[in-house]
Amino acid sequence: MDILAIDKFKNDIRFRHKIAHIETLKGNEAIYGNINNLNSKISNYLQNKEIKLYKHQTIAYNKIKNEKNIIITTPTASGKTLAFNLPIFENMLKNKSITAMYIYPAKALSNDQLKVLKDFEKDLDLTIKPATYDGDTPKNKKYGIRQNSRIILTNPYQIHHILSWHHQWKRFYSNLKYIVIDEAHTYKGVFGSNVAFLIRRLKRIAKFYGSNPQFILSSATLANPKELANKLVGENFHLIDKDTSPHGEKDFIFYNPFYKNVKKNTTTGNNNSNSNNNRNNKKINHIITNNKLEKNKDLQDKFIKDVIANNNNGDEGTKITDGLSIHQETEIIFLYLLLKDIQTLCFTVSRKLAELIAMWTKKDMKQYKRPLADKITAYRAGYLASERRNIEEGLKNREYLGVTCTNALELGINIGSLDAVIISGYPGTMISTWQQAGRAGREKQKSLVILLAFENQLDQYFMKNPEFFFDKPHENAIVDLNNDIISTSHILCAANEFPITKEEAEEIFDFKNNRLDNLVKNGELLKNKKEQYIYPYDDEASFKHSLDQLSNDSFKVIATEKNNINTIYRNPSEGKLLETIERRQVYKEAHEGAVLINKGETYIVDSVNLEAKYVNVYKEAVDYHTIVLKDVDIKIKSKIKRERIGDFTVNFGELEVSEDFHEYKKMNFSKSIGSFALDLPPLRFNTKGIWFTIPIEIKDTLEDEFEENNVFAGGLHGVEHALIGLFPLHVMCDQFDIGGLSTNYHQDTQEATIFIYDAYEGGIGICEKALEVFDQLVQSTKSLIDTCLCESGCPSCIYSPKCGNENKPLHKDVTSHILNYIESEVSVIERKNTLDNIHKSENYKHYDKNMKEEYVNNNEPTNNFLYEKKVKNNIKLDENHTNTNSIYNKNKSIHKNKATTNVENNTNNDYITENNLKNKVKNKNNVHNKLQEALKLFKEKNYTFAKDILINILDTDKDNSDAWYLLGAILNDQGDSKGAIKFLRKALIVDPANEKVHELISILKIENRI
Amino acid sequence: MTSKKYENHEKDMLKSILSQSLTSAKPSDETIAKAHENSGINSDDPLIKLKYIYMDKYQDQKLEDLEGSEIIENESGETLKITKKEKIDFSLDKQDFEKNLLCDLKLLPKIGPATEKKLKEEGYEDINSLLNHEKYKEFAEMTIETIESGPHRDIFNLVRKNSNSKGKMLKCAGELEYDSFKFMDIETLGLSNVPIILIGVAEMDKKGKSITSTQYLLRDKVEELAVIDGYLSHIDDNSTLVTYNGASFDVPFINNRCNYYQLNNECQPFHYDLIYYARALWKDKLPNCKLSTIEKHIFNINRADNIPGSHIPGYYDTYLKEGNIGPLIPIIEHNRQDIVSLAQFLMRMYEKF
Repeated sequence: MDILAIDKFKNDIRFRHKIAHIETLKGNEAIYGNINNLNSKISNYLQNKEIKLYKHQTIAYNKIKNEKNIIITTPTASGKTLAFNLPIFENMLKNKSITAMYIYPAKALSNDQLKVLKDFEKDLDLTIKPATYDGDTPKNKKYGIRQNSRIILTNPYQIHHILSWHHQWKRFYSNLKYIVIDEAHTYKGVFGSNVAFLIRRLKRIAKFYGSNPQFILSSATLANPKELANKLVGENFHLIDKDTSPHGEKDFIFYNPFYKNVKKNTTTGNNNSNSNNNRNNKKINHIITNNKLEKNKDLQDKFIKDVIANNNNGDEGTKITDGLSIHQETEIIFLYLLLKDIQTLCFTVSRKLAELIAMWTKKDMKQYKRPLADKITAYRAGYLASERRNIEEGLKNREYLGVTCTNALELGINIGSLDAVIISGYPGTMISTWQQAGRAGREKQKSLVILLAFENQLDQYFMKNPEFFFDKPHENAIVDLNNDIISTSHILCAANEFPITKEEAEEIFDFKNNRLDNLVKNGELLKNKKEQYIYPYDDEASFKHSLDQLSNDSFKVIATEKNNINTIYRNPSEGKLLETIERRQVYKEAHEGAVLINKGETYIVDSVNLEAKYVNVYKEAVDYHTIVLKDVDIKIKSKIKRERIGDFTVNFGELEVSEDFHEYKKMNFSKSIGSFALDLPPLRFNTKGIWFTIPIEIKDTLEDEFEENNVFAGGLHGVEHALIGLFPLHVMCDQFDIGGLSTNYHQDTQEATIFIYDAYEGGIGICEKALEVFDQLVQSTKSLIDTCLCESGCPSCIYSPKCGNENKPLHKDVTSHILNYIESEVSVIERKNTLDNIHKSENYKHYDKNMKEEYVNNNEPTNNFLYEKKVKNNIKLDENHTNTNSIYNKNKSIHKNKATTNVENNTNNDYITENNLKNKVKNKNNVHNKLQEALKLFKEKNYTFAKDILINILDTDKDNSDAWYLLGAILNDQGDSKGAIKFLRKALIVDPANEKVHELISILKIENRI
Repeated sequence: MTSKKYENHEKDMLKSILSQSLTSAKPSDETIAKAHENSGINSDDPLIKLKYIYMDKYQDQKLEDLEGSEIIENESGETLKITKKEKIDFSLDKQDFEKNLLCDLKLLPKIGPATEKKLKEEGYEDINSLLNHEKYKEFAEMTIETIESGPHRDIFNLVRKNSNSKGKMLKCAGELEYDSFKFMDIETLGLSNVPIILIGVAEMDKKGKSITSTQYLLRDKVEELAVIDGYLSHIDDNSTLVTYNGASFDVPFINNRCNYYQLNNECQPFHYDLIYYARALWKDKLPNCKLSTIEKHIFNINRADNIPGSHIPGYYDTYLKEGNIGPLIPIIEHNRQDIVSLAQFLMRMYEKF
């Protein structure tokens, strides 16, 4: 390769104007470290292989030797594996019986590592017999592995099923010294939370057999590596994150095909100096250019000209320049680099695109440099192992020059390093982007990474805010240990492994109160005389609980020929099982009439059998896709936390979400070609989420300023979309893992409210984490809207591809105003006032007892999901009921005034749901109602929630004597008579005539002799 | 990732296979429907028919009504114990056993068939005579000591290690007190990692004139630990277990369940698994060495209402679901016959060698 060819791309006139940012990552010299008293066999090995250890490797070695748990987060190819293999093998040389378990997220990775370990074993002349133990292990090998292998390489799915057979693994578990968890960042969300409990089960078994293994984790760079490690394993970790391995300089280019949509091209000082360098390079380049290169250059120019000539250039108004699709653009860049003899790996977002881009490039290459066409191929999951190995080897020895692939190559498979990487479309997380980028880069040479942006919010955000990407790591990997469904599943599995005691359940699984006894009541466990809880069924509990899914509520998608569809409707077993999907996904993507895409093929959903849980589909190529419309309804079940961020309050709590998928549309590109009604019962689930309110004054101001309809609603809706769109920047998740609702008025908050919730039964920790990083989230979102050049909203800012309301109403300017408001409130430095002190004195982390019980009661095992229409009606009645005064009539203590609520339907500003429309209440007696609610909660001894409401009242109206009084009464009930007196005095200052206050104070005085 | 997809698929298959068992926590609808269709006293399947005959017969009875049954309570909870005593005429002829053993020079270390032949030619007829042999004197002394006064386990191991004769190994049992034998058999809900529903143990008096069977029955899955505890109360270091295929099934099964309950079961009594001796005697003469085959061909016993192990979970499940003790009756009876006839087996096989 011509060393300088790598710099040509960024200076090429045909690409230059679309480059949003160039970050030149400096090369690093290696820093080496020393280990004293290394076992001679190992030091000989290192000498023979001419390996000098980097400093971070020696630090890891020492920590492991000192029996510390560690997590290593240095980049790909920095020698992480050697860092922990060294001390483990050294200990195995010394101690002949100890064993280790290596856990990888995928089978392919364990096979790769097996080879490394076997070579090491051979070189050290040591008997460890490392072996993979997974679904592919031949049955006749399994016994020998259990008896003899000292290192087992496996994956969480396998561990999940073999734990209950621990008696067969007595030798292994008794001697278990190390547990290595590689690619730990992949354990997040539902899967990660399941794995966290799985590790706890594994530890429990190790403990029974008398071992106490040490943990070694390796992960990509994260914002919260220690937290992740701690949550996964339940122990403390030492972090090793400073990379001391050498690498060459690398240009990281942000390439934006949608460049016309960007306000300003970020050119930093750094870049200027780069382009100077480049100019110099160019000169040199010209000098050394030989005839052959000259010829190549001609070819390339011809090719580029061809492409441009073939495309319509009169596209000034559209966002994509040159009329090229993003995928064609990817191909052009890929081809350009290959023609310069730059070995390139091109990551695409789907298998199909990997194939397509490889095919196009091959075809075009034949016109320019035919022999190179055979050096181009696609690589993806689904290829035969031998084909894949052939490509892996081919990349190492340069038989392949250009390879397109999906993220199958992202995880640690060894293909050596390449000259350049193209990432076509942001892969969803910065971790993935960095890992893919890590494929480019050699020790001594300069390398190149090009990230092509798509049109969506995240991609465009990075194009406009590159510093965010190159700054410190922002992504938090979420592991949730509070999801009841997951913890229950693992309690059952654990009880199947060994009977479980109350103490263990609480200590290991944080399974508290009477939850074990409740499982006994439901017949899921039995309790014997020794207070052991046992799993009474003669099947394996692990088979009933998937590590990837939350519920067992899954549907089988059965495919057949179109003319055969009636047969499979009657007899599903005659069709072909395409996949299994969860109920929520059925409603969203596989409802009747939906176009379902599976492995690049389109299928039409003929019918859905909700009872038998079948989705019947037939294959048909269609040129439309479908989108489903839904109404969302939310009820706040309890408030868990109330966070003050500056002057802005964000709440976190349990929500009851009801999603009604009522209609779907057939879309030809972005044009609707027909709407169809859906008859599905609403999907109802309990989850956790955050919400915040926007005060009525903001609404009034905005409505004065803009004279269109639905202005405020459009703004709220825009804020909701943009926040959700950028959630994945801070909390590692997919947009589809969360849902939202924005409304002008919500009955539970009585104000304009935006909700964002985890789209999983029980919640999965995403929104809880978002509460911690809320200020950063607001900053990013504001900057996204501010830098987007569109007039009235586009997919790069406030349009959402998954909006259930067809992105209506949306108002970009109002969105921006509301965000400004939130941002200004958030950035106010926390004021010190009495109210905040009250707030802090409360421990919001614990649910109120009453609320908790209510939640449990509502959570009947049957029909939890299906919310029959009949039930819905009842709920409506219920809601009306709470809005009338009947409940409060008996309560005469505070309210001398008539307790009147004005219920009036306001049809103007609603847009979300029919339900909301009916419940829309414009409440003129807002404070009064809140007070009543607080009183009601107080009477129910639901103090936490009552206090919240009271503080809320006092926030706006400090002179509310009744609110001060009620706070005093609450503290009195909670046994804090001093605090009570303090508040009662405040109440008296405000209203010296409040008789109730006098009464309570005198009672207190008598009781406490104050 | 394909691997994940594949595993999901695999899991799904397993799930569906598992759901085809009626006793899984969530049997599939088809399985239940199939069970219904084939149900009742009219079933074509004789085993299902048999179950309903018993259910008819016992529908108004309780387990406590059964002859010899009582509810006991031990450290681990309550369970049902069924005791029955019957006559037996048990004896193991120990004549000449010691003498025979002493004639086997191979019991000494470093003496194989060739050396034995040579020594016998030289006039060393038995181990006693080797006391005068310079080289083997000490070994002979040790061996005689073991045979005459060593623990049973040592004598047995001496024979097992140095002689290939299954017959001689079984003959070692002749040394034992009759009341130390524990004839044992278990019934379970499957092959591994599932509850034991019945443990039967039969014991004789010192003279071998009567045999008492004690069975511990799992009335409810919560009682398993009490059942195991009940059985273990019969076993101590002086016991000798006698089973059929117990070395590979019953004993490890009980150990695994003890392990599951984290129960310390240190006591591992000496064990005669008769299947080894049955194989030595009849392997070539019979189609297989299953207990029922041997009963039929060798002892000419034809048992009525025999329920294969694979049907026991279904029977037990019916008992749990219907609250009808009928399906348990043939299982209990079958188990009792098994343990009692193990005593007969031991005696007959002892004689055959």
